[in-house]
Amino acid sequence: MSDIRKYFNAPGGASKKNAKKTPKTDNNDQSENVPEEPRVNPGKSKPSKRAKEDDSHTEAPKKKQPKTTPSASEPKEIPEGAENCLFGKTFVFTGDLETLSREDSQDLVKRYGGKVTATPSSRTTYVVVGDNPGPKKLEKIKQHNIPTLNEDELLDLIKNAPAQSAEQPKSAKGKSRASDAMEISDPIPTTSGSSSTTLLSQLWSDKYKPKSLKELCGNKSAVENLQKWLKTWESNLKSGFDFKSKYPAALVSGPPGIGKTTAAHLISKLEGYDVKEFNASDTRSKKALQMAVKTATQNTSIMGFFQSETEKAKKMGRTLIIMDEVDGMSAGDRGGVTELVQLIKKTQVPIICICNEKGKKLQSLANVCNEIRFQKPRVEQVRSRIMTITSRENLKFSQVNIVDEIITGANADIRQILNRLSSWKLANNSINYDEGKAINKASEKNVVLDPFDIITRLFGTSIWNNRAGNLNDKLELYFHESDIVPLMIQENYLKIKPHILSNTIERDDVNPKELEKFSILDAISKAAASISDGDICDSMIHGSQPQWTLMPVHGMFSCVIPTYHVHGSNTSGARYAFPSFLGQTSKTNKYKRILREVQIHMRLKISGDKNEIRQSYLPALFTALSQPLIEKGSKGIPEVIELMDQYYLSKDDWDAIMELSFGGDKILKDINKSVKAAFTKKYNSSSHPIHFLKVPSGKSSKTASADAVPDFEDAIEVEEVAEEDEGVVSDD
Amino acid sequence: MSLWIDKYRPTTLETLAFNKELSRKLKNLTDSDFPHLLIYGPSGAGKKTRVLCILKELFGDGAEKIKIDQRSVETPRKKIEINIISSKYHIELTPSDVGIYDKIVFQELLTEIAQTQQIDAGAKQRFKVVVINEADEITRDAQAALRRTMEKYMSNLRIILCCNSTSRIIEPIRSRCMLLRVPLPSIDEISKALQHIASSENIRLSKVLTDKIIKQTQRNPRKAILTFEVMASQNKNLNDNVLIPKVDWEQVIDDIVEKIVKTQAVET
Repeated sequence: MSDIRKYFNAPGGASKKNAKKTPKTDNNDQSENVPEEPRVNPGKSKPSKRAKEDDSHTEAPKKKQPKTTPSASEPKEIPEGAENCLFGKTFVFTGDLETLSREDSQDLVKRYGGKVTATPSSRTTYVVVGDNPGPKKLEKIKQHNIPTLNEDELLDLIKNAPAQSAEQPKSAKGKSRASDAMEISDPIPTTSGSSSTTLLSQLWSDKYKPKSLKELCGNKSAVENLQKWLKTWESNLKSGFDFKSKYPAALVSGPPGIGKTTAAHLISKLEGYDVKEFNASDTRSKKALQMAVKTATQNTSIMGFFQSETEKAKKMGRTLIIMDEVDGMSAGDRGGVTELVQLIKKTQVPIICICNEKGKKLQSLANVCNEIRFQKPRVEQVRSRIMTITSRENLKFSQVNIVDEIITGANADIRQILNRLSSWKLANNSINYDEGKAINKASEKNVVLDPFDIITRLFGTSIWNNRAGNLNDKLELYFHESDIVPLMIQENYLKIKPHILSNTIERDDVNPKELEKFSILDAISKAAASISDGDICDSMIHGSQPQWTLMPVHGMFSCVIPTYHVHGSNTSGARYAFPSFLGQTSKTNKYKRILREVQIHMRLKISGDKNEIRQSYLPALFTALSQPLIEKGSKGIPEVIELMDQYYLSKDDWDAIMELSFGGDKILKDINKSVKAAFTKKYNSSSHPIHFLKVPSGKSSKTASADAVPDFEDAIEVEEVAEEDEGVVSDD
Repeated sequence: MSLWIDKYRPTTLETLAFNKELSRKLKNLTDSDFPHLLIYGPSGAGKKTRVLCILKELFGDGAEKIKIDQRSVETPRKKIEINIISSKYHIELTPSDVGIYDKIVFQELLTEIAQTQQIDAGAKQRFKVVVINEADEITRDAQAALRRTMEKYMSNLRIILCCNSTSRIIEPIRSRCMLLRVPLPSIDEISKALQHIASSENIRLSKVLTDKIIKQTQRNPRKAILTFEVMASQNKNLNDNVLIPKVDWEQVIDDIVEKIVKTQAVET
């Protein structure tokens, strides 16, 4: 138990201490560092304080040296800088800062308009250097002669830098990008005025639906492919589809909200097709498809009637079918996919199928389609489009990188971004950096990770890194799949080459290799001990009086602590295995069932329970039942059958005994096949005493009992069971 | 041709080879008012054999004539089936076969049995006996269901619980029963039994080999006799140097242990 306290105490205690101390240290810091600065806005300082506490959570357990100097652990007051004071400056971070976590410090820079890049280059304004900086980065710093900052200097910079406006950048480096943004954000009064008033009820995603191919964000080549396919479609129809390069249909796949459907519609329109769309809201069973397609292919669309004769001739039969959301075509639409495949093979019109993910279900469909994959667009590809839309809607960003933040937060799902922004617009007219983050946070999806993802994270080094989340974040992983994750860890923890904790004892008299071996074994034994503690918890949770409140403790013991000890690199390189515990358990149950069957058959003769049968009788019976067949061949059969009859064992039981014994499968191979066949034949041809007759309930009971009567005599009183359908109880 | 262990199984209290003192006590018990029994001890020591002997002592030869039935009991969720071994006078249950539904077995089946008296007017005793096997595998809930039944139907019913250890039997049940421990017999007793079998089967069994077998099988008479039979069937002449075969699962465990001792490193 003392072990677990270590995990709770260090971070928890630290944060408490911090919380108590903050007001005092606030004053200290103020007087030391910021004499001329006015009092920090108390409302604003709150988040930063919390940020520091979070940070101490993560750092405390892994800090190598005890914090000897109080200044190191005490939180620093984060100054309130002027708006956009870091605009146009590019920062690179390396190493661990004293109090700020990597994420917090980067947020800080971004909040004031600075840009953060991963590696230093000639365009880098400052490099912020902490403890244990990366050697490569240091080299680059020297090479490019970039000024460096430590944490205090960074904070000072923020405090003292003059305010800048994003609209009028002074920095030359920032100019190109900012001016980009400027051009786009120029309001376009002609359209915006009318659209925003008349079509107020329309969703932004519909209102600003791309009207030309140029307006589509990203996926240029995919769109071109689709267009090319459609252009050549008619000539291909004449020459015949070979399903290798010429397909009658296209399968567009990609994540949601990136414009697949829009692109398909746009292209069809451009190429002069009338679109007939089927989506998940239409029934798409075999019959419905046939009907719909018949009308689509054999009739002209109604548009045709309103066009001039020449045009009509040209457009005759120019119909295109879009099958949207085909991955939703399964349960309700029986035979839908197969029918669709049939239809594609015979089609006279182009078909575009759209899905999010093409799994196994759609494999047959993918075989007959020209596959086009839409990727989610990069941030740059979406940025300008979003900027245009927001400026038309009069939503202002205080900085350009807010847009980036929102785009990444929504996973580049354009529809999602627009929805988020439009709901924000209902109440506000502008967004600053923190608000942008808040929008993302608010609409953050709680994705359920699959067990393999979870243990990859737990066993990986990244979440144990001191810049990563706190203890609760790790426990949260357990709660994603609280049943299976502990099993997964138990299954896989030996496959990990544990990272060697840097605080292992250093000794000169021991071979370092041996020492490493020892510390690995030590880490594994600690993990194993914790896993078994977790198992005790588990049995209490699932016991006769369920104690679900123990779940966090279970998660701690069964997941967090073991992985804390053994996380490292997956040496085998193989995929993490699914818990074999489950398979073994069902195997155990199966053997238990077989054994119970054998026991109940033998029970008339012997006294042992089923465990005794396995442990003592089976080894003896095994040899007695198999040896005669091997040694004497078919002459041994009567001997074996006699023994079986003595114990009321059936042929099935004989098989069961072979299966239950170690080496049984080998013995079975040793027995000659013809002997085995003769044995089965002989056994089936003769009658045997049986332990009791299981009277089948229902119709067949009469015939069954009539058949079985002769076999009864030696075993039990025949009359009772044969006459009564229900089992006879003791009261006779 | 049964295995020797069954061929030479004693069937009366007088002929029991081991724990004679206990057998005498039991004999006295059957003459006076017979209580509920909780018989425990290591496996192979002869608990079940003893129970059968007690039954024979109580009811006469009729107790030996046993049959097997299957009863189905309805639970709210599913229908469960349980095997019942019974003679005219007693019933034997293994409630742990049905897992967590064992409580229902007691509630439905045992109460039904308990509510009726012994039908056979000529029976020696006025009560029926219910033998419960693997009593230490029964859930606590089921044990609780047993408590009241044991008292309420005392006039109709005696219960004999068989288990390996009393640690998982709840206190109220233990207090309602007479606790009897059946220990493993001494080396002398087993060796006498083995010699008896050997001479009946016309096999020469030396004293040294007998001791070796007993040592290998850890004084477990059932294991000793079964091992002896395996040896006798595998070797024509039993001299002192015959290798005593290990039971297959013991061999597997030995292999694992050997691996662990040999290299102390992580191998998957």
